[in-house]
Amino acid sequence: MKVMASANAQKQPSASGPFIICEGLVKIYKVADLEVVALQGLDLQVQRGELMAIVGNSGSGKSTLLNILGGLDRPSAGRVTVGGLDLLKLSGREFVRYKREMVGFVWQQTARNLIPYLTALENVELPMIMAGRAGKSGRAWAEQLLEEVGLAERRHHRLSQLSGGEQERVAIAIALANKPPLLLADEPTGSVDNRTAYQIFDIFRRVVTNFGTTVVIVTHDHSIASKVDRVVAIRDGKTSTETIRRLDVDRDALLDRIILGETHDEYVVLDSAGRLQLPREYLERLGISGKVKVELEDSYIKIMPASGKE
Amino acid sequence: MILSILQMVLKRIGNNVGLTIATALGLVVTVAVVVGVLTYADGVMERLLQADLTKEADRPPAAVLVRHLENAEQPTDMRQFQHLEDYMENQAIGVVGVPVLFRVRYFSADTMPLYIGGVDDPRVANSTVYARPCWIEDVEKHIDIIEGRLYSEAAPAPGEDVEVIVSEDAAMELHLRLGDRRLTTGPDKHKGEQAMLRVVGIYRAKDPKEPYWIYDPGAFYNRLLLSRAALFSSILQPIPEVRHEYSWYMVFDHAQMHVTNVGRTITGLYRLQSRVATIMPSTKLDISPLKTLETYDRKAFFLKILLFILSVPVVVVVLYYIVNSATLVVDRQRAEIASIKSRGTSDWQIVGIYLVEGILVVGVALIVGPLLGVLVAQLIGKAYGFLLFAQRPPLPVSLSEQTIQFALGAGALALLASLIPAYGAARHTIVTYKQEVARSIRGGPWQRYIIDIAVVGIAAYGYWTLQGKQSVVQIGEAGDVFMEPFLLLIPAIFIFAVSLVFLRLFPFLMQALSWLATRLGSVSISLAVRQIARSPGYYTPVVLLLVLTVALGSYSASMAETLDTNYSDHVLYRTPADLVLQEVWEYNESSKSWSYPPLERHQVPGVVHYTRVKTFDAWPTTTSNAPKGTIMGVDPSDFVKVAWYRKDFSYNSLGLLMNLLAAQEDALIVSPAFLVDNGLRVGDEVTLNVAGANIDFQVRAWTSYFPTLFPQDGYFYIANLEYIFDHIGTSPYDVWLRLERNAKTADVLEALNKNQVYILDFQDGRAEVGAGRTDPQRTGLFGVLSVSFIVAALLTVLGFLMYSFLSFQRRMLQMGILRAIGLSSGQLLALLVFEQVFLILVGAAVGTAVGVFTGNLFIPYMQVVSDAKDMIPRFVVVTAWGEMVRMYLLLGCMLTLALISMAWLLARLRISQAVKLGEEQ
Repeated sequence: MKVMASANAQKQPSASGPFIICEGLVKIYKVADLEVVALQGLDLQVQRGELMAIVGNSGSGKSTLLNILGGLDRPSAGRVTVGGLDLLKLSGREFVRYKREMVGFVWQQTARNLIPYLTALENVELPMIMAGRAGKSGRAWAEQLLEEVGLAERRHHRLSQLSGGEQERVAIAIALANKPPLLLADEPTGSVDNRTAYQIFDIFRRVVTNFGTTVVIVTHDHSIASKVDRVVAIRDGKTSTETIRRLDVDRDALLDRIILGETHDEYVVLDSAGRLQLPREYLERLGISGKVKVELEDSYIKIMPASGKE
Repeated sequence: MILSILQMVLKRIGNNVGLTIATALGLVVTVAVVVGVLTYADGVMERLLQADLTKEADRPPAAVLVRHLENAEQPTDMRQFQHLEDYMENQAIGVVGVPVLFRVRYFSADTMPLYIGGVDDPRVANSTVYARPCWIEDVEKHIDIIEGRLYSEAAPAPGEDVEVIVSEDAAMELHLRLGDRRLTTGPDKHKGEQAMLRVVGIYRAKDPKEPYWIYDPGAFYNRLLLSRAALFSSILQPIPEVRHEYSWYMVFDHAQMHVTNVGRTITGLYRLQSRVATIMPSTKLDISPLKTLETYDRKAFFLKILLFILSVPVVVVVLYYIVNSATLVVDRQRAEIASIKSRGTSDWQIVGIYLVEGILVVGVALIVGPLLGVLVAQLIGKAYGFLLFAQRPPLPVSLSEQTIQFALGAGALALLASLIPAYGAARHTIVTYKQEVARSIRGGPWQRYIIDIAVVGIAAYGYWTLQGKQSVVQIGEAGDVFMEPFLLLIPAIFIFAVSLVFLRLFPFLMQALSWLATRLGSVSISLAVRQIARSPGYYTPVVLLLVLTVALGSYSASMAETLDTNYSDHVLYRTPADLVLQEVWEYNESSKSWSYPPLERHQVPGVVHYTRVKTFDAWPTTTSNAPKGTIMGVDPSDFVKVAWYRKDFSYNSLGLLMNLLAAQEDALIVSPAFLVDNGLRVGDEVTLNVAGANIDFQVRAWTSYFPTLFPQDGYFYIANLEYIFDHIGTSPYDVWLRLERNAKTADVLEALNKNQVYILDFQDGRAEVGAGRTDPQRTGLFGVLSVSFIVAALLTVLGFLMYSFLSFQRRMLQMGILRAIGLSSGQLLALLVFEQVFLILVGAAVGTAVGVFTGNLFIPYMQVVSDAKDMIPRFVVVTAWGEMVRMYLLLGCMLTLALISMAWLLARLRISQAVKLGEEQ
């Protein structure tokens, strides 16, 4: 399989609009007497064919968001559209179809992704069987997927015979079995070493390039920014910052695009009400809490600690 | 694609082999029990059918006689006759549907006079004989002509004599000799319709005992045999006023009559009956096995219902077991199911996977189950008590269509049961699954109150219904048995209800015991009890299974023992000794005395003891118009060694009563009614008129009941026989014998005979008690109860094994930690063993209590009575502690084996590694 060097890491504006749209997404859990607000009005847009990551500390709501996108949970309020489908309006049967055809999921615990007593190949075939699409073509596609993730020679091995990284890779193949346009991964590199993590991201990128899949990764590893196109940080159930990777390209070279360097621009996201979250380090450095003074300058807005406040 | 699904399913099963086998066993057992019970019923009824059919000695079994006797108002219509004959010839046998062994047609005319000369010949005015001309099909094959020859087949030409033959007896009776000619006419001898008969032969039946002879050939003393053509042309047609009789006699092959086609045969016979009456009125089925078949059919039906009802509890227990072990399987696969579901599989697809698995397993069950069922049937047939089996000849077993249908139904039911947990689990996704794990471990729907309330409600209703009745079964006047099957189920429902209630209290009980256990100081014990107390819901299913098994077992044991004891008491009250003899006495007219065998002659091999007993009618002279009573004369010192008596008949033992008689020759023991009605007390003197003589007695005691004496028959008294004989002289008495346990009645009787004790009649107490034991209903009852218990015990033990093993697997980490912090492996083993033993003890104790309580409450309703006399002796509920010990032993052995195998399995789990590996999925 040819792997193209992707020089164009910018997000492609899609003619039909963003692939995923989340507006004011709210999710509240009620467990016995406890009420937990996991998402507090989250806004997010993901373009088709984007490789993006969602980061946040534990409790920030990122797993909840992923579950909602994956059709495993329903939001309490707000709006979420994936590929034009309004997730709040899906019936039970349509949900099942959504999970089967539109989404591929790679879970955090690899044991959940694979069925222990089936071989890797059988595991990849399983979603196709459930969709009624098995048979010779299914098998061929399964083998192709395993080759894509570099495990062709391990296809007859079972879960216990694969290493952690290999299990992760098989999980990705399984998630892609029914050719979903959206691939979700929950902490895919959580329990593997750096080299394997790199391998895995490489696979994600190939998937985006070859199949046009939109890939959303959830992780708490903030250094992931270098490997994906866009990183959205979630804090307290809302998006707080976005980091976009930008390649500096020499536009003058006509034959080759030479990558001069990588820079990251970090942005703070405003929600629909115009609110934003200031990075904690800034607040702490200046001892800001409670109120700030905001002044409009010519081309920027100045934020200052309120005078007299400690 | 089907292939890949199948492959996957097989791999799935392979992943959970142990549990799948356990569930499969439940399915196999369901089918086996259903097949076993039905096959037993069929087998024993088959035996009964043949016995009933061949019971009539004087007629071949399955004989059918279709007979038309001409009605005076309706002269024979020859066309109808033709139809009938056609029908009988061609269709009748097919209608009945059983192969026929042979057929005989028998046509005859009514009795006709035989005149020697003309009709007015004075010679025979006073001695006219009457005879019946008849034709019997194929008679020539069954007789020997001893004089003359057979009649010719052809009809005689007009004016010719009609050729007849007669039997030797007939020749004598009718004063006929070879060559004699007789004139015969119709009822009106002057009408001119007549025929001239000539005896051309005399015959003798070859074998009068042959089934061929519908009527005993000896009864042919007034029959003249002639050819069919002659009968019709010369007798029946020319003399229409003579009544005709047409009979078709068929003997069907009773060996071809089976349980499976009895219904059809009965229908066929009814069809035959109505058809022949329609074709030719006044035609009836004079002889047919209809009554036998119908009685049998009804007996079979009741037996099946009874056994079916009795099997319901065990089938419910098995289904419960299946649901449980399927739940265990599904629990293990929850993560897998959740993950598949999250990838977009519908609930029904998941259930579908389990369905495919289930069908494979059920397929195996439907092959193995019936085979096992046949063995179960044989086992049932060998039962004579609860968990008591005797060597008996095997039953004829066949799998009828009905049995197979039921087996399929049972298999389907079991399959559905195994799918219930699958459906429950299918509704979880990973998200909801994790949520539920975070909550405390819940029991299944069994824990929901609604089921408890429903069951308790039904049980209460059932109990209230029974209050109004005397018994579950009533026998109507016609001897038909009326039984409400629902009532037989009530004790089982009651047991379920009480067990469920107990399980509600189980957690509280465990809390209390856990508090107690910590005081005991043993680490193992307190840990074990705490473990159970913390998640009682986990163990509830197995404990419930154990409680149900033990409760049903102790109830069944007590019921069986009670019925058995009361049945034999019933018999013994009426035949209170091993042998009761009426002997031959000779009366000497001249000396007006009897000669009879002296008592000593009864001491023959096999006889342990003997005594004289005689009952007389007695009237008390204290009151005029006194009602008749019965006085029994006994020899007290011997009587106590021979007769049967029950403790509850009076305050005194038999020995005490006999002592009173021995001490005082005029002592009298009376029925309490006598004292009460006449205002008498113990110590009063009474005079009784016995066999014409007034004898004085003194009342020394009273007894409510005494063997062979019934209060319904009036007052009864017991006194010294010798004292009575002193007053009225010796007269024939009965001799009661007690025999050695393995002495055969026939041998003893023969020995007595040789010893010149000649026996007129005898009653064999032991035989009568024993006869009841082989009654198919009782055998079936005990058999099904025993098998039910064995099955339930087996499943309980399996359930325990599975639960404990899985619980230990789950707690590997916990146990690893315990080992790591210093618990020795001995203590750990003690913990595990104690946990199991504790549950077993609690379950067994509660089960016993529930079973005994239910028994005391409901067994009295199991008494079968048709009249008040049948209630003597009183129905006593026996708690079968002896049987229950046997039950505990059986259960105990099984559980010990289970514990041992569990210990062995545990040794293979490396607990010390558990801490290293951490929590595994």
